[in-house]
Amino acid sequence: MDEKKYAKLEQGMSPKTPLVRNMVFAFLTGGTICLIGQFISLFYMSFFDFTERTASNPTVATMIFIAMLLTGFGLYKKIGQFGGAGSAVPITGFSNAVVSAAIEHKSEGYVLGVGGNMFKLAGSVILFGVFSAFAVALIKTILVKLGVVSW
Amino acid sequence: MNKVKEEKAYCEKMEGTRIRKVVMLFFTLILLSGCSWNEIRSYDGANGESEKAQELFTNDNRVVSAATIFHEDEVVAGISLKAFSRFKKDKIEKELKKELEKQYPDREVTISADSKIWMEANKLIDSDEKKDIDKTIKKLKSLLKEET
Amino acid sequence: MVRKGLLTFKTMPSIATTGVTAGPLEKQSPFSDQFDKIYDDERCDTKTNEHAHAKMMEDACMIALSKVDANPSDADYLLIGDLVNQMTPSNFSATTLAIPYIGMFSACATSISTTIMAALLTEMGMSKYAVAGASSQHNAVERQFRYPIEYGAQKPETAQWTVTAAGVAVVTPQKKGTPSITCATIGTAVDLGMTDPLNMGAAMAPAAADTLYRHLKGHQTKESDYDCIMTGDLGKSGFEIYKKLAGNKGIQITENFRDAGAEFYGDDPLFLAGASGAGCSASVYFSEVIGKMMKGEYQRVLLIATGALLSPLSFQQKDTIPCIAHAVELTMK
Repeated sequence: MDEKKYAKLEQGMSPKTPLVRNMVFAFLTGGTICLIGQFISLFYMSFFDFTERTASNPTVATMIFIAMLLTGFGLYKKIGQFGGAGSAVPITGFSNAVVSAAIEHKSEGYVLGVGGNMFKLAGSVILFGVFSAFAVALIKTILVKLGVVSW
Repeated sequence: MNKVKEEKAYCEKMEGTRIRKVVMLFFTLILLSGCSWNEIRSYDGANGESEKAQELFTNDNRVVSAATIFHEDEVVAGISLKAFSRFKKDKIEKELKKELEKQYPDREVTISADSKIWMEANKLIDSDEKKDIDKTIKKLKSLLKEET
Repeated sequence: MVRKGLLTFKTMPSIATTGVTAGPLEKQSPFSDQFDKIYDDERCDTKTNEHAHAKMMEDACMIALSKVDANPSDADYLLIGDLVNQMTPSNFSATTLAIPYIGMFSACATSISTTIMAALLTEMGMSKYAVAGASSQHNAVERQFRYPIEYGAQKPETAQWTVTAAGVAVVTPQKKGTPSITCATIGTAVDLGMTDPLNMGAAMAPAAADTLYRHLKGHQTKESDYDCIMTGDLGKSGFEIYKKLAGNKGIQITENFRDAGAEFYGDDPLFLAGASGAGCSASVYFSEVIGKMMKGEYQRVLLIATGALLSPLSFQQKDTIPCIAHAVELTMK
């Protein structure tokens, strides 16, 4: 039996990823997380002196804090298994990636363990996030200079 | 066949717990949003100057609701926009500001689509105490200047 | 007689006793009442997961030896292995037990490869008590091969759950009333180009089918001669593929085909395709199977343990997953 033949057989027999189900669940989970974020944002606007724009900072911090607690209590991985991309894409997913790595490597000490491995998963998000922001800003700057669009 | 059954059982189990909660949340949201003010309103002491502003906001179909305050030589307007117009918030703000400045050439115009301003302006209109109006306007203007 | 990878034991070494320990999550396994010791704490009250891993192995060895009234100092060889880097948990338990030690790695097939080695040493008359076995600890192993434990990644239905369990067998010269090792087959590494570490069942199935076919042909037996043909940790999806592949080779698939990984956690959807890990086959073989043989329910069984020989580095470099399967035949007379 060669590799191609086996790949075909394997694909025929292995359970398919339920794409539609995953998408619906991801939509619901991501939507719910954002809805909670919206309420927190509203809370900061109505009870503190934050505008819609400045309220995003404390909101993000609160969401990260909540996700950190959920990760520590072992609940976030359950949300992740249920919601897939819906729980990975919002800022809470980023928090989960950082905190889970930190918990995991605590046994190796604070400097080499927690410090050295905390951004094991999230590091690439930071790197490519910054890089793509740079690339997009560069393109926009060029377009503005050429007079195609305005700021 | 077995897999399908398992899938179904899993979904049903989840339905019982989470979907119901999500649906409940949506309903409360709809209820809540039904309670907010959806009108163009203004407050201008006793000068009767607000008509032009009222007209401007009513005729602009991108504006869902607005709260305008006239006080001494200030005009502060908090507006809330339709969902998709919010992406062009800055542009619309600039446009409306120009219009207002044309209508009220001798006044200092502050206009914002930020919902905080809209909320505070509404609160001010609703409250009976108009003494702190100076303070509030000053605070709102400083809030708008704040960077991130 | 020299034959490619096929071993026959004329003296028929016995599996005198076994010892199985497991973590708290394994309480819900249908086999849990046959385990000798179940810890209430997933770290067995030690500081790290790796220490817990070593302690589980140690305790399993002590329990198995105590059942034949032996001390670690009476044992001649310790043949154990696990999945952690350089097998440190096994190394640490070997230090504590102080039995002459050979660490063996065949990934999740370690339970059978060590049993075969122990049987060989016994066959040659060089061992009276040889302790063979394997263990795995969920947290310690998952962090090696996958994401951090608490990371919320969505796993596909083919993914398996590494068990927290250790299983050892004490292999002695032929002893009445205990299952004896009659023959065995050393597997060849099979690689059919599978690369997904979250679908190891599919990668390992061809190796299992190949070893089963070679064992039946080489030892001139039929699938119907066995009361049970049990694979190690193919999981639900891999088990189906394995049965299909075996069927294609002309082997009759019956109710007697079982898979330890698929059965380990029952039908709980939380564990997706089922259990995996070196401790999975070891704990089920050395509790459920040996137990049924002692009770006389099984007369003759074929145990095939499968292992995926990958490392975190190899799959990140997009290499394929070579797999191995070793088989051992036990009879009860």
